[in-house]
Amino acid sequence: MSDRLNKDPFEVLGVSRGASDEEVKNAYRALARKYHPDNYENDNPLKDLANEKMQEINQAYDQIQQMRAENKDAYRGGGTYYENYSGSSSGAKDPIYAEVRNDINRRKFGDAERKLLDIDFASRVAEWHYLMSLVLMSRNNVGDAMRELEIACNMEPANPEYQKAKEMFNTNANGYGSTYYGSAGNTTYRRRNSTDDACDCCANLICLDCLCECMGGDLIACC
Amino acid sequence: MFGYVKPVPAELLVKEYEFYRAVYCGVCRSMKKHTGKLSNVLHSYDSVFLALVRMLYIPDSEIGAGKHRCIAHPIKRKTMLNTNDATDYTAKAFAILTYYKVRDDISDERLAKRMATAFLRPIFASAKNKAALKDIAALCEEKLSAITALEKAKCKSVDEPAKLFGEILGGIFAEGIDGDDKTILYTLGFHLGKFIYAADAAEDYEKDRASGSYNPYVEMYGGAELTDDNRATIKCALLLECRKIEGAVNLLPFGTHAIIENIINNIIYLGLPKRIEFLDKSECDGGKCERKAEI
Repeated sequence: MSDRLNKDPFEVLGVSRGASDEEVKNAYRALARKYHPDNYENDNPLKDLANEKMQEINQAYDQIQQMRAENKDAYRGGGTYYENYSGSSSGAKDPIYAEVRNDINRRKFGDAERKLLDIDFASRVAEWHYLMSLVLMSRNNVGDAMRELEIACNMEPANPEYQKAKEMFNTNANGYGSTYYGSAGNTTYRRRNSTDDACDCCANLICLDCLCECMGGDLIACC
Repeated sequence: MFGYVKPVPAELLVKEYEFYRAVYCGVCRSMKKHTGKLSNVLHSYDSVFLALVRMLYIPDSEIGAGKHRCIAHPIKRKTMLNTNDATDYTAKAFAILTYYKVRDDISDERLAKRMATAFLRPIFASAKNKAALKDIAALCEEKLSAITALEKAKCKSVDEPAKLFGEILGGIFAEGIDGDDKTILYTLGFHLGKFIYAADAAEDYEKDRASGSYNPYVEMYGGAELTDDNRATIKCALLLECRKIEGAVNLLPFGTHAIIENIINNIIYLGLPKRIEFLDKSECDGGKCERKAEI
């Protein structure tokens, strides 16, 4: 029983963590057809095993649904930092990290942090720093979270999961102010079309000079 | 006090820039009125931001300007905002914050600075008495001493002390406003405070690393020299903080105050990122060369 609880729901359904809801549903349906009790007559010795399998996939499916629903709820409009946060299912070597990931998915950040802090200093691997950064981010400790993420990336530069998270933050940060006039990357001026080039400026000055001269003054002395 | 929260004037309309200057002078006049003649030597651009935000919460009829002389402009009369509730409040709140900041600094700085702060003490003692904003005073005292405690303990987190500073600014921004607006203003001040604390620490990195003074980033990076990647990470976190500020600013009740809206947008979208540009340059010694080209 406890063995089953610790299994990765995505692994059970045989889909990747990034799989779309549709893919997850299809995988679930296919497996459910396979293990359905109707396929196993009453006296079939495999009936119990199939039943167990069935329960396992039901549970996995529910778990994924729940995880995704929670993520959507919490991050409506706020980006989706956690949604695909655990790209490599093989990353969780130590069962404690699987537990922590589970806590994070269920948004029990306090539990996750306690478990992380219980791990002694020497055995804190890249994954520790990565998960810690997720916990810190949940508390809006962006500065500390970015530092932990940086350590994780430095320890395992090839890990796509950590890189992806870092990229997500970078994209969010680099987009800051990009829709505001005057910032780099946005060339449209807020009240005029993008025609205020040097020629325009000169033309305006000459006009102004003419106007001044009408009134007896002079703006540009040479013309 | 920090000089982090100011606009990029080149991107302001002239009328917006003039209004900004007028508010600056208005706050200065309020300081003279409430916190003593000498206190305005400590006037900073940061307080203008608070005054602008708080001006959204007073009746339009109270916002007016006139031409005046002052000690900094003895010859030419300048357009200055008449003091109103927003500038008065700003002057008092900043006087209290500065007073407690100075008082906290006395205990851990070198002799020259200690003399200077001791000299300023009576001004701020009176500022505090005159201002009589008890809640703000209690808040500043409590949080600043908590920050000092974290600094003494060589806290390895930038967010813990930054959050305390954020709570101070949050309290100052939201004081006396009720309802949803209180939440908006608190959030705005909170994240702005966090940004200022963290950016200040990032800017002082090299200096503090050399002198051995406390700096959260020095503790976090183990006193090593920052690489370009490290700087990019710090900058990313600061910009994410800006995002939170942006979220709060978007909810401010600008109404017909287009000038104030444009100045505030300029400050948060251009001013704040510009102020942390020193993180883009590796050889720039904490951005000191950037600072010369200021308003």
